[in-house]
Amino acid sequence: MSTVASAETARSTEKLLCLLAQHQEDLYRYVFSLLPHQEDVKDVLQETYIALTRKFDEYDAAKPFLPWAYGFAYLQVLKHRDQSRRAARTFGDDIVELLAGQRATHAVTLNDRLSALDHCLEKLPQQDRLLISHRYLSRTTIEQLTEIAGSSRRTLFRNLERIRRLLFDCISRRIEDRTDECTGECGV
Amino acid sequence: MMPGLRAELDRLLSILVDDELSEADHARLEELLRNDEECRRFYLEYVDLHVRLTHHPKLAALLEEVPEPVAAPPSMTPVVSRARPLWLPLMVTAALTLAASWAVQLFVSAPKPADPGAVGLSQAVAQAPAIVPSYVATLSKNVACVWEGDEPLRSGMRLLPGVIRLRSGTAELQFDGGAQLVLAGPVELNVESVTSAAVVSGKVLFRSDDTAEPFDLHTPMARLVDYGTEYAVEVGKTGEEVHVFDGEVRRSPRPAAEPETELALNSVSVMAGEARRFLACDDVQGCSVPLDAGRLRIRASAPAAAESAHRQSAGELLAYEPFACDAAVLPCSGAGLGGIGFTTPWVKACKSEFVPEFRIVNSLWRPQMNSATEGGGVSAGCRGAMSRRLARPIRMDEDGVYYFSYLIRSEKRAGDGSCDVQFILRDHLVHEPQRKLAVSASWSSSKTSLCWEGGGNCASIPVEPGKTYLMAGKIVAGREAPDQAFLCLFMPRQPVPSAEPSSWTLASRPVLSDLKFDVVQISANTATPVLVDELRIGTSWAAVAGVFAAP
Repeated sequence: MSTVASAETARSTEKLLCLLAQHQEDLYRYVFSLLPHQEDVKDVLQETYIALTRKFDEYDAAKPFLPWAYGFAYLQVLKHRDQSRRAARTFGDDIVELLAGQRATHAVTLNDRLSALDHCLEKLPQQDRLLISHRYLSRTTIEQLTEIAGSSRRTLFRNLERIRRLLFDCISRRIEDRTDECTGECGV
Repeated sequence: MMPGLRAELDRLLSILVDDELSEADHARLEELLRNDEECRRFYLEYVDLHVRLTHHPKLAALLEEVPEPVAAPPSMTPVVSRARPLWLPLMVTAALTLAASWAVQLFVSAPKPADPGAVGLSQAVAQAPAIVPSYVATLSKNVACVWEGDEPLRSGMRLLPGVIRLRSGTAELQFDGGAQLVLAGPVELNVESVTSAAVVSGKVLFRSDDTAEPFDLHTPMARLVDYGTEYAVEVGKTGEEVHVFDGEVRRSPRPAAEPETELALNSVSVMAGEARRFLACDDVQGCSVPLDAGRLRIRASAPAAAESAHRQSAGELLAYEPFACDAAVLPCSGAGLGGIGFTTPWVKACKSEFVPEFRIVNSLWRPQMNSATEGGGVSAGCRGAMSRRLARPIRMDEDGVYYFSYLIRSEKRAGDGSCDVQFILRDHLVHEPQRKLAVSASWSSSKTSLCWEGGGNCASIPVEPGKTYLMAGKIVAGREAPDQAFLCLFMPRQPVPSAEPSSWTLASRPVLSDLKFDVVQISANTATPVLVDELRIGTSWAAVAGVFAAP
């Protein structure tokens, strides 16, 4: 490889890595929504990143990166579905297609909802905040969590469901309020 | 979104992200996502929330603000690793493939996956294909009930989501998620889903245990969440009362009444032995009232004398075959008919290519039986089928509930070949092989299955040679509602309940059938004799299984 070509490859690599660093959460969310199992997502993202690397010279920098990357991720999801041992627990092609399509049209709202999460986390009761933090941040197993919470496995899952519901509803109310405010300001 | 659907999605998606989704739950989730745009939108928002939580930087900060529980011994305190910063700088000098892998690891390894652990909360009822509405509960007891509406509800009927009104009497609903509601008329209840219902007015007792799915009971003013609980709720014109007999109930005002402030302030826990009255939507705490078990701990049981008379009643028996045929070998065309409720003798089934060998032998018996059986049993050998026409068909084009039972036993020895026997109900005018209800028992593969127009189900059941099993089933027929079949296999010494079981060994998917099952068929493919005896078909559990129930 010539020095020029080598330098060009390095620049290209650097650019892609920057883009991946910038958008890795978006890609993770996208893949997880189509294939909601963490181990599967890991595999698909791995393959997606490799595919992006191979095809990065075809990327038009004048266009947004994410829709282009989503195209590769979508194909990898379908490919993984066909090969996965857990295929029975993955969604059918028709559902994956419906979800991907709806996600594209719903992207702005989804991002708005995430930005409302901070506020709602603060509103959680202390006990719920502790439980959800252990669930998502620490490496506590479900068995350890049941001991900490002093509850049965069933009650633990029930509590996690309840807290997620509280957060979901809180986010929805906050989004609605913002919409109302905007509507008022605009006089529509 | 309807509250029942919302509750179902909350449950399904929460166990999805906690990696506890069963196959039946997965099928149900697929059905909802395939057919409903609103469900897909909810799903996308829900899983986005989950993913965001896995890496939310705020959680780490929030966790630091929360003191660890003082009472927890050190060994129980979890090792908490702070969330890895999501935007760690990637090293440009790394090889790209390696970096891609690393990027994946960065994102994926940080969240703590829920330990998959034990199998999730399973449902016996497989979910319906998209076109068939799903039943959510069974009317398991019906004591002196007067129902509102043209068609009175009958014991054993399956319930679709919708409003039911009980004018008087006591009824028990067994939800497919495992929870039970006992209704004392007058009461109006909106049956929402397998895990939720709304009390519009009246008295309802709720019962559940750790084997049941979590259940949401709504009232006009609140949402009640149980924690391994028995409690009663009474909804009147002037307010609501919650009386907790066991466990704990958390009561939260309905979303419309929820203030915008602290989420924690919106719910109150009512513990065992406590009762509270709530007078208005914004009455979050309510006031304490005396626990009234006498008035509200409702039981759906008939007086003992009536119960006993019901169990003795044979009026609901449509057909009974004790195999008292006076011929030694079946088919016994032209010989004594035997049994009741049949219009023909046993004959070789139309489609059977082989002349089967069915011999009348000694009758089968179970320890719990409180009376001797009539006649003998039939021993099926070789390969073939014989059938008999019913005088009163089981009509799938009309609303109804039917039951069947029979005893079965094999003398299969190790090394013997096939040993499979089927009990089949079919319509004599319909010859498509799959359009029948078939209960199969296979000693060669230790498998019992229930097949019905593609809506089948099967399970590995350890049937042993030389032991007599009771197969008891139920068929729910709907003129417009779905049809569904259930099967319970009773082990040799397993007590048979006097009322139908609250859970079944096998359940078919709901199907839409308009067949009239007027043929009973026994098919065999066995190298070893299999005995069948005491075949009953009726319209109540007592009629087909009462004789096997413990006194």
